[in-house]
Amino acid sequence: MKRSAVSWLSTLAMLVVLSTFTFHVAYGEEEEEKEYEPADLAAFLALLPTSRLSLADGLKLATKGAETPISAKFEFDYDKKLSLSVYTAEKGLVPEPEDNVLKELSGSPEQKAWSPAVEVFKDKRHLTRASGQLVLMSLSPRSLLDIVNEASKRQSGMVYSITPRLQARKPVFVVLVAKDGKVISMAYDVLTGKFVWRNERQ
Amino acid sequence: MKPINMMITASFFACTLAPLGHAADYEDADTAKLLAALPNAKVSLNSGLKQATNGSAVPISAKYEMDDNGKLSLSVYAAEKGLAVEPEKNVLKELAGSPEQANWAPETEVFKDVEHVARSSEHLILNALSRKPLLAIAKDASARTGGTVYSITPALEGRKPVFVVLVAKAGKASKLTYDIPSGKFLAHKE
Repeated sequence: MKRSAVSWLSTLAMLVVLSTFTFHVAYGEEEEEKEYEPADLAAFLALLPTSRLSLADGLKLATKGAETPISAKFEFDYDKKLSLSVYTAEKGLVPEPEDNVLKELSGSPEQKAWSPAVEVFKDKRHLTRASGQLVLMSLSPRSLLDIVNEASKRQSGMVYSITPRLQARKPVFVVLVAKDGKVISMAYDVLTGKFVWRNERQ
Repeated sequence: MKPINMMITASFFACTLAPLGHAADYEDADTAKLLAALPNAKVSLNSGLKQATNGSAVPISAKYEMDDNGKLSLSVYAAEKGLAVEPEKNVLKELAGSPEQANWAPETEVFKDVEHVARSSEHLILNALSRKPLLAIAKDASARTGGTVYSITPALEGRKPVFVVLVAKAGKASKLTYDIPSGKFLAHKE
């Protein structure tokens, strides 16, 4: 083989390795968002249109007095029925997590009136998650409802999840949208409220 | 005094004195005992921070305090898996022990209770937003005041993320604040 051909092949091999690496880095973060196995995700997405409430409706209903939503999503409940879950900080965004009351309102969105059960978090898993979400929410100039409304304008489909979180130490709102059996993820900078990225997956 | 004037006067005092209320947190009797005990420490807060930085483990707050037996203790909260791993998937713990010997041999407690889990989750998230480690902030506060740093904690003050550093000097406490995202010094309250 000629020297130029060897050089060309080695460059190609390097490009393949680099692209694979880049693909894994780019999609590694998104992988964290995946909560369901593909079959379950398909079943979940198929169930979403049965909701008579939007995520924005849930956020509005969970905002009462000082009580402020800190994340929200549609999900399967333990019986694999559709549920709308909103985490809230009962005392608002100013009192820090240890002085606040962190809880979940969750219930079926398949009736027009949402009658959620309320759970005050005491377990480590939910407390760590909700505490982090409260801290990130308190840093943001925008409410979850603002972000959901903006995401709905930017992307057609049904917004079914919004979560403030750290990705590689960068605070972002991760918004998931269902459209034609696919999931589109979008991120907004928590500190500025500005749109950051969009990814589509099967 | 007319009701409207009373309201204006009350609002004035509320606005004027509210910031002092927070500052008074470190001027109470417990703090006086702590400040009196601080010279007994043979391990500095900076040494505690260094010692708690072990592999991926990163300190997220640190302070001297009086333990349940009224003895001086050095306590460091740490995130075992580092700052890139969210609280839910991390291990949040406290290393606490006497700093009155040259070797600090802290006991370790992994947090499970509501108060400590909530507090340490907040500390982790706020540290993750910072470009500077606690040690750099503590060193700056020490150099700036010439005193002994006895507490460093990330906190939200009016939804603004700050490092609150408490310093003892000549038997008095003072408070310094630093902006967390930039690491810049903000204020020094004697």
